[in-house]
Amino acid sequence: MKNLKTVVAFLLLFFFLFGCSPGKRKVSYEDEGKPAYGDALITASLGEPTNLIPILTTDAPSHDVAARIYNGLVKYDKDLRIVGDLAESWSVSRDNLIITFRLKKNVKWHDGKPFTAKDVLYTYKVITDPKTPTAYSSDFLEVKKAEVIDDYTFRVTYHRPFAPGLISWAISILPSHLLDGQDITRSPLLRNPIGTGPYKFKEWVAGQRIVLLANEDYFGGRPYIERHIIRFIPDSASMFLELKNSRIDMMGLSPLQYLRQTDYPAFKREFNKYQYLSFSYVYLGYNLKHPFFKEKAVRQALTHAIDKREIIEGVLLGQGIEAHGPYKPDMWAYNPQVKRYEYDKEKAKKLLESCGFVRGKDGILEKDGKRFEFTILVNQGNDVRIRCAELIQKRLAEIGVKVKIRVLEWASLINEFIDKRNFEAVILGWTIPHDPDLFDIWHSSKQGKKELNFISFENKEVDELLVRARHTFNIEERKRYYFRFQEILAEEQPYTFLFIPYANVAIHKRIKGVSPAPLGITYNMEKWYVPYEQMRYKSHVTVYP
Amino acid sequence: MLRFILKRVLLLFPMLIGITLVSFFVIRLAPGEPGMMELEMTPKISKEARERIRAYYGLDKPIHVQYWLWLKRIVKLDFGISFSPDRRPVIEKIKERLPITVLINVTSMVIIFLVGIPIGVYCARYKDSFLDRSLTAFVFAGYAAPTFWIALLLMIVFGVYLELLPISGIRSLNFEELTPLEKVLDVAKHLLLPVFVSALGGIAGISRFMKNSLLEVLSQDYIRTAYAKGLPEKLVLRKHALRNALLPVITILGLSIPGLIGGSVIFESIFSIPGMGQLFYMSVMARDYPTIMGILVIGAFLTLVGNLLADIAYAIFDPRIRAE
Repeated sequence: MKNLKTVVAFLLLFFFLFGCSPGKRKVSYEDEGKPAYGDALITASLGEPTNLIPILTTDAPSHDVAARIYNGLVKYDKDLRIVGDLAESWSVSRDNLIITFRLKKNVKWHDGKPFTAKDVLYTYKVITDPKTPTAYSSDFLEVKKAEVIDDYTFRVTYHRPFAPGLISWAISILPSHLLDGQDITRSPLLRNPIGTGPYKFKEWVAGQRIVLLANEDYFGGRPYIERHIIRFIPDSASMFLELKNSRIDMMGLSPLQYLRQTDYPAFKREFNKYQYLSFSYVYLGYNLKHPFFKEKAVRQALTHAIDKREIIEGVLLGQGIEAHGPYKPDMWAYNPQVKRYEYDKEKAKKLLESCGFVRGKDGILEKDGKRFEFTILVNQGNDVRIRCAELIQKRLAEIGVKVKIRVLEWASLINEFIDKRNFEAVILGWTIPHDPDLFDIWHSSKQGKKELNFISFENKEVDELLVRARHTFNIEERKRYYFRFQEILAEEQPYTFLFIPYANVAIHKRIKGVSPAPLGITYNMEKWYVPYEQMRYKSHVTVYP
Repeated sequence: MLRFILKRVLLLFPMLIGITLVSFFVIRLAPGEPGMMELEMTPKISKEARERIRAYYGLDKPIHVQYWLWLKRIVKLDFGISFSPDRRPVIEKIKERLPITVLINVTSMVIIFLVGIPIGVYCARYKDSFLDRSLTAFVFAGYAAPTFWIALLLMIVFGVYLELLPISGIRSLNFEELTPLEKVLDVAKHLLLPVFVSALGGIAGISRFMKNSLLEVLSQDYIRTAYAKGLPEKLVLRKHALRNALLPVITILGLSIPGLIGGSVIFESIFSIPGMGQLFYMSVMARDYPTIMGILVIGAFLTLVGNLLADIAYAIFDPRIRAE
């Protein structure tokens, strides 16, 4: 009897709770409307930021939030050209050793203090200080001398000309008046940052959300959207349900979600879907110390035998393009003329025959009594790469190469196999940096433990090209070097470059002014707006000092 | 009795040391290092930067030295500073997440006992009846179905289709603007699904346990005696059988104390609840040694204390044990 009462009480509570659920308003979002100040943009992040001083963190969630709060001296515009951010202009000396930045004069920190060259100098000093646990010091260790000329002029002198040096100043500039003389790793700014950027930090509710407020004094003009709320939703399935429920306004979609699970009228009424090339590619890397992979012709044969189109269709549902080198087609360094390897089984077989491989009894190719079989390593939890490996396994079996697949937890894969050069082939991905300098991945000096040329690629000409391209600021000249560099990679096939995936993003329709570009989609967030009649979150926000 | 307790308390310490020793070394056997997980494949990170970060965390010292330093601190109840770049005291991180986990677990435990025990008693009393079988089947279906699947199903039904309940988090965005009553309702609404999902498995376990325990008691001679004396069934059940059948439940209560602070990784992730499970999982993934060790030590301590309390309570309630 007592239990019955409990149950009834529970049910009553349940219905009572139902009673106070707000329904969705039915508004049409088709009208472009006029820009207006107000509303909120709610995004979600799988992980919680670790802290909000960008030089001390390496995780994407931290950097995504910090990008709204801080500025660098320079930045990329939407077409990947370097433009001034906190710097009004800059000049490079004739010998390419000195960069002089002239800084904007009307910039204030979020606490009202003026921004000056002192802040830039402080940022440089703290990043190069051996006591600072930062991962981003290497570009700044190339600097011989950094000096404040006056409040609005800052000069850096390099040991030798260093092309990536200019864009390295896109690093978030920190407020010296709040940090100088303090231990940065214990600063209150870790969780309560003060920057110069379009949004000010308002609150951080651990495990739940971070709230940012539009900076009315932003030197680039006050952002239209009043609040930016980043919710932490650690599970991607829940995040997707929250998107369908319109409780978040923006989310990256998987190919399946993009093509099928969002393809119904109610979703289309509420959301726009955008697509642009992501800054990453996936590749099959060969350990060039392995006897079979030493020969160029063998690697070329394997690339011929792998059907990249099939991988893109089968694994990415068509949401990607074939990769032929380490850059994406909308970058200035991309060489569209490199050698391509169409899918051609016969060609692959012939190439392998010319290297001395013959079919054994069981149909597997052999050379000097050794069967041509190898293991591809993939990291656990990455279904795309695992399925890639399966398709490659099938295609290579057709030409008589036996492939095994081994799936490993990320940290073991890197520490136990890659670092120790204890692998034959591996499927991994690289992010494509905005600056085309790939010295750390392809230069022969970068083969040490924990370094990134783990496939042991050595090519004198490539070494030279990479060094030269690093030491000139002339874009045309750099382009020439990188074009040649890509030709060599295409010829050598140290990797079989597989594909560049599309980034697919759904953004709520009331948010206008979104236009994907080579740089991505969030580069002009402060110019996004919601027309007044379409606003959703009109709660009054007090702007605090 | 006092000697028994004293002996047990003294035994706690070597056990704790043993547990920490094993955990400390095992966690370091896992490949990967703190602060490095995202850096493994970033073209912009130099080797010097890596070494610098290692030294900063004190990872360049030999492992036994690291353990000794940690032990010296822990004796003073200083759990140290987290290795995650937020550099906050471990104890603060735990304090922040403990209340919500305890709230969910205590609520779900109350539900488990309130629902599970009556089901068990009923099933034992009317063994093999249609209702017993269907209840058992239903309870076991709930037990067997994976948590994440049930959670997602409920989210889709109540959240997306019916739009009755929030899907994730523990508070609405406009929480600050609500009246106190609305605030309570808001949190209740957010916790409804997580509590239900987390109680489901427990109900199955406890009802099964209760049923078997009661059946065993009902087959005893003294119950037959009670019936023979002509006592009404209700009285026999309540006065004679149930009291004894509930004894093992005390053990379960004691053993579930550590469970109260250990959140569940699965449903906390699905419902985006910032609890202990999530914290532990993220710490392991980031190789944040101090936080991992902090949670393990507290967990181990509570487990041992829970065991001790269960034993003591048992001795108090069950004269047979005391006689031994």
